[in-house]
Amino acid sequence: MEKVRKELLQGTLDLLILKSLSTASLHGWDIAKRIALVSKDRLSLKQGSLYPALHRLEGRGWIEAEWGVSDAGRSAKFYKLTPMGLTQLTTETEHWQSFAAAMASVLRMEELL
Amino acid sequence: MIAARFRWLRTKLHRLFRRGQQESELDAEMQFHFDQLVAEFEAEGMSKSRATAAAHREFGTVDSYREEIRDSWRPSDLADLWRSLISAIRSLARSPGFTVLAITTLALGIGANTSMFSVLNEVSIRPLPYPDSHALHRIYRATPQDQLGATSPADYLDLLEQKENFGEFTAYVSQEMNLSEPGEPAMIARAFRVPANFFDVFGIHPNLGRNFRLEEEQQGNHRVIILSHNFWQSRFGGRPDIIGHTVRVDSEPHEIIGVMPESYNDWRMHGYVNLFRPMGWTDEERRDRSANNVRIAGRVSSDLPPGAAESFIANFGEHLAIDYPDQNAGTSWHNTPYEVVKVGGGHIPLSMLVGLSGFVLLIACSNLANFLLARTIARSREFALRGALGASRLQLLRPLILESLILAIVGGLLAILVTTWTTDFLTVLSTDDQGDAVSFPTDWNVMGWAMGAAILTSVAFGIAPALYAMRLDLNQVLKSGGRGSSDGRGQKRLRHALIIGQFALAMMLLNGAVLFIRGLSDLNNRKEGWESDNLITASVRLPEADYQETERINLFHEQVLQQLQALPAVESASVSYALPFFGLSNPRKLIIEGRDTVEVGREPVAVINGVSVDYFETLGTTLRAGRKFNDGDHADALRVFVINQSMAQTLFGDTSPIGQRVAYHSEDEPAWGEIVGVVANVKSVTPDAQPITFQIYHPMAQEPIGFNEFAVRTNGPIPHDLTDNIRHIIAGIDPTLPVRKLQSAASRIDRSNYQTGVFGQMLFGFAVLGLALAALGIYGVIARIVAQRTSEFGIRLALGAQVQDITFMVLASGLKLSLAGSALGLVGAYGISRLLKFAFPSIEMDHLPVMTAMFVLLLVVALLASYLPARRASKISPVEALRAE
Repeated sequence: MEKVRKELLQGTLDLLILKSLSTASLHGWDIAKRIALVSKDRLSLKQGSLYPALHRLEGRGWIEAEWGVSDAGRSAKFYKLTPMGLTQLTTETEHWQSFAAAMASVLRMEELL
Repeated sequence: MIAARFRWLRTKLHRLFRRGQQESELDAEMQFHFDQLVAEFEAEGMSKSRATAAAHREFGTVDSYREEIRDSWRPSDLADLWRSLISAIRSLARSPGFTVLAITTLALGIGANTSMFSVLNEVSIRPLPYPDSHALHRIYRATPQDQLGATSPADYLDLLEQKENFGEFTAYVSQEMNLSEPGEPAMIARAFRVPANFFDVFGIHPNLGRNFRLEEEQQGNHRVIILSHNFWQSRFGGRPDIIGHTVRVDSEPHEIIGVMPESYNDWRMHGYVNLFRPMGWTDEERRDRSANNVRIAGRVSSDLPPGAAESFIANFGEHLAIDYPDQNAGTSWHNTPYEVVKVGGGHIPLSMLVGLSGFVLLIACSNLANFLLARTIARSREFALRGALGASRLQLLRPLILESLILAIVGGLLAILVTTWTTDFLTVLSTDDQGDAVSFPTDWNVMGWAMGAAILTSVAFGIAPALYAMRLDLNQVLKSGGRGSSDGRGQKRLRHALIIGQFALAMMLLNGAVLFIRGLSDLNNRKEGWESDNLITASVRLPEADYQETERINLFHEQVLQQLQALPAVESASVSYALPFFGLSNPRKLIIEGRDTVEVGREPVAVINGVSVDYFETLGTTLRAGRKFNDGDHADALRVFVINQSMAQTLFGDTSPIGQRVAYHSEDEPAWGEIVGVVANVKSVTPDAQPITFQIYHPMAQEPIGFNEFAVRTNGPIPHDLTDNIRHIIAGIDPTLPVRKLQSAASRIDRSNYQTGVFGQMLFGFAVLGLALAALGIYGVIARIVAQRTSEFGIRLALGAQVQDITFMVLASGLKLSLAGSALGLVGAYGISRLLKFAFPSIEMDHLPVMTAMFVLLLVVALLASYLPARRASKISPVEALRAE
């Protein structure tokens, strides 16, 4: 399967992080794995770029962090969604879907021409 | 949600203050991820080194992430503010001289103003504590001598009968009463005799015990008293069981039936009254039309149309003058609302003080403006540079605003201290000889306004020059080397104008203060017709109950004077109705034998004094013609008078008054007496508006009264034990008599003019403050000029200018400014002195010498303030100055 272009659209990474945190609280490594798994590796990103995003989201109050112990027994920083983050996820998802739908219909129209 | 917000705030604060921990946590977090990656690649079978390289590829550049994250950490406005604050404080601390000057200026300016406005509020703005106080009026019977005169019981009772729909009238007779209890020292209490409705009219009732009853107005039932709150506290320790207690008032037992609430005691009204007693007029007193001691108050009915109360009162007065011309010809009645009365004659000096304290604030603010202006201009290069590096306007202005705010706030806080001290000082000054004081609670509203003004001034003058600087061509400023050869033209003009304004204001303040203080000390020291050195006085009141017969009073006087004169240090001693330095009073109309009867109301009027034999000698009033009184002028001898020079001249011209017969006007057969002597005119230290110039004396023994002023002249400095000796002598003759005001005449004179004295002192304080601030201002400006022109001076010196030339140039620029300011101030000073003259008509002011002296003083101060920078300029080494360029 072909990989999507590497540069993620502006703001998509935030949405991906929020989405992956919507079910469980995870540390950075888990988040990277989860995104790779769910997107079937089609969305590739430099894994380190997660961290600026995580800190940005934390600064906005959408996620919060807590130090815990990873499965491997090492101490790791776990992130989870805040109620504010949950609201943000919902609106962003709707936003993204309507945007994607709009884009899709525009592109379909182009094929018809 | 709230909890979440709180955590979010905590994260922010955490990021703000615990940067180090954040960094290490971030590193640990990323290291963990990186290690996992390496482990995964190793699990795929890579070697350690290849796995690490692959992990690097997959993870990306750690440093750039770190950078990005740090950026996300620092957006907080809070952090920026905190940093700006710290740097503002540092920047202020770098120029401690400026900071201290600015803060002191503000503290003094705001503090002085707040206390002055607090005084104004306490004295005149705050309403009286009585319900519907605007309806309360004072009713006056104006005589040619006294616009605010009192009336007689019979007039008052007539008024009650005719009041119609006016409202309510009440009255009071203010007098001193001797108060004694077994085992306690006797004292004189300030008392009001009042009708039963007195407290009803004012609308405040005793909160302990009961009010007076109607039947207690009758003579015989009147031996009940109500205490004021203060007196209850100070004399009876606030005992709650005081009701029903009996004390001796004027030697008769009186029952305490009530205590007034504290709120009644407004010091502007009846605050100093110790106790209240029903009128208790005898039938004879009720018919008395010539007494002059009943003061009338009224509550005007709200149904009355405006002006009706005034015309009713005036009308009543007119009828009295027609019906009883003997007592009332030439008099008229008028009324004034209590809210106006409360301020008394004090409002002109008071508003002047407030106005003048405004001057101080003005000087303070303009000084501050000048300091800030100088400072900001000096930093224009810094601003230009930062602007060139792309700082936004707000970023440029923020430190300036912050610095100004810090100055204003610190200055304001110190101003609270200054205010507290000033009001404490005023309270001490206003404490009278019975320990009652007026306190001036700080007016926080005013403090707020003054703070606001200070903040506004400092911020405005802090950023205005910066805005100006930003308009400058950046290149120009940077090229000019920052020190620049001069300020902008507009800036310079503004700064000079500020200095000139300060000097003008300082000139006005100084002039006013010095004129006033000189006038006041002239007043206190005028000693016209008397001599207060080596003189000690005491005040004694003989209660009527014990001293009904005149023989008893005369006996008391004889005994006291005899024993006083026997004291070793005493030269002479006397007793009289009044002491000359406080003025004679109780004016009486005179008739002169052999002259046509004068039209009623136009008889000669003289103030009187009943004096003992050695009075003139003791008080130092010199005899001009005839003789003084002697032991022969006793109670049963022929009546004799001594008159003053001005009366002798006006009434008798060139003919000798000695041997002429005069009498006091009375309804009965006049008691004629002979003028035996003429003495010098006597002027009091109290600045009264229309003094009566005729003075007449009669022997105390021929008309003895219970209000006695003893005077004792010593043959050298007053010995320490003299006051105790006097007290012992009087107590030895009558132990129930309280002795008051037992002190040197000099200190009593100071005391009597203390209010005017306080005014003078405050005026002087403001003037010194203003001058000091103006001196600081000119020093700042001249120092600045010198700093700016260092290189110019260097060049001049290098080209052969003499050191004196440089010094002279600097001094001249200071002198020019102060000359302009002082000259301008002279105009204002003249205005101030006119205002003072208007407020205190009896104070003599000699303008010319004072104005000249103050003008010179200001120039000297300006020269001194310019001298320091000038000396620095003269020490410039031309080599260094040029090298620094």
